[in-house]
Amino acid sequence: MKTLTKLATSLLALAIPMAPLAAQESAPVAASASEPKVSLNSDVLAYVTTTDAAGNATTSLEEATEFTPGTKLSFGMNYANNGLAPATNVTGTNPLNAAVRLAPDADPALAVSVDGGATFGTLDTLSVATETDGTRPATHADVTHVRWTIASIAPGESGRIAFPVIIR
Amino acid sequence: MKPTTQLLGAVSAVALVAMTSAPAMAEGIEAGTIVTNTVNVDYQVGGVDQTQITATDQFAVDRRIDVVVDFVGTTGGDSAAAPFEVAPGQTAVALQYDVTNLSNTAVDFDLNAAILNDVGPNATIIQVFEDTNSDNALDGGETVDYMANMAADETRRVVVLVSVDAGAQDTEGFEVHLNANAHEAGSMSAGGTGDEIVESSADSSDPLTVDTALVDDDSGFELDDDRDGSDTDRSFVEVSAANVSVVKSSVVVSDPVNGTTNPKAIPGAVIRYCIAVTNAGSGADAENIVINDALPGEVDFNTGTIERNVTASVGSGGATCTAGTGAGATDSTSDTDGGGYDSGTNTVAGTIDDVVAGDTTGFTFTVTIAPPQDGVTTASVTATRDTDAPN
Repeated sequence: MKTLTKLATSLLALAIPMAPLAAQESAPVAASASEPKVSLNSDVLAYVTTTDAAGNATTSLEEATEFTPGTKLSFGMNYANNGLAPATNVTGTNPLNAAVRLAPDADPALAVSVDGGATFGTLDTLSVATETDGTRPATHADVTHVRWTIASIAPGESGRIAFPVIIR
Repeated sequence: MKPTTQLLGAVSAVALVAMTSAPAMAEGIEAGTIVTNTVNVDYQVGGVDQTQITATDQFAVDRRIDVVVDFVGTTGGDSAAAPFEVAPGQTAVALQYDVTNLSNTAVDFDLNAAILNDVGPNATIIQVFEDTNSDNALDGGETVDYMANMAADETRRVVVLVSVDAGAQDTEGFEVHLNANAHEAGSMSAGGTGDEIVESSADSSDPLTVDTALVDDDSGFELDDDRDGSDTDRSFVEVSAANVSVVKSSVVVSDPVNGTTNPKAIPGAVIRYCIAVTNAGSGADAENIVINDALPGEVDFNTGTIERNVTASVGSGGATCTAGTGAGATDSTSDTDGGGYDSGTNTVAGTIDDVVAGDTTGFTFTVTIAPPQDGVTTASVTATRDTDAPN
């Protein structure tokens, strides 16, 4: 569990919501003993809020079935290291489909790009050009790419990393 | 400062790309659009770059059906307090509505209009039609009772033509409701019923299936159901009739004996007639007012005394005209000055301008009581009166 704790700490820097490991979708592909291998599986989950008898609302991630404009979804990446050696400097880049935009409640520490993936930074450091030759602060709707990094994934380790989007 | 400059240069080039790749769709991405969640991962093992791996997941954007009907109340009608005004017997009252397709897909609309809360005007619907050129008339290419293939975000004008009973009374009102109900694009035709769009019974487990959700929010309007794929708006119409009354009074201006001090109606006295027209209606002007006054034989018309549009009032003592406040008219009946005297019929005739609601306007002239030698004697008048008295 030590490695998991370490992973969680590194993720905390990005503060990306982590789903339980149970959310992992596909079985890791078997790898040869000598060749380290990272497997990847992307998913789209829905935020489902349920209210219990006491009136307490809880939100869980479930398989998405409704895709109408305005719906909030969780774009996730499930990863696993099926090899025998640690995978290091893991960088995932997620080009956002034009039909969705980053949700306003995305973590402010998330590394994003508003220029088609040329440069990355947190949203509050980025700006975009306006039609009148000026610039304005970038907004969630301007984000074109999302990037996440993990320093190291130990052999046998897996997890899910995700960010919220809204269908335009 | 150099890094900042670099960033700006890079950003301005990409902003254009972003604008072209994300078309402005106020009501959402077109239904059926395939959205892919793609992730590319680079990593190292033992400090050595490994082959990039990629994963994708896809879904199709579902259909979101929404519509808004909005009465175009530029001349009133949005509320009962500020109604759209019509005249009794008006046969082609055009009530305009804007129907906007807020769905993320093209749809047809079935149009249905109804008269509600009619408290007297007996209004009837003549026709409901698409009026794309906003001329309040049905033209070629415009459809009746439905609209076909309205694109996402498109707004079209719809006209409901109604007629009002000729016997409708002032301030009587009614409502005209228009409902637009979403149908499958291209399914409707003249006289046909089309395929009404209904909510998917359950969202498909296949994310690539395009489901349908009816999302029209009509919860604030009790006349239309929420989330039924249709919307209704209403106009408030009120009859505005002129309520015209006429009072004619006379006053003795002077007599040959007393002058203007306590004059008496004796032969030779000058009498001023005042015809006061009052419009007691709620809003409509009283128009085309024509006055005809056949003078009794006992009086002679005084040449040049006709005056139109004078200040007038009506009280318990009758009508009062203030001479000198209006426009004079010659005695000729053949000119266009709006007044004249016909010696053949001994009739004064003329017109006055439109009288707005709540106002009174007068028409005045003077006569002189004929002396006995004209052949009309006071005695004969008295005799007539005696003859009429019951014995």
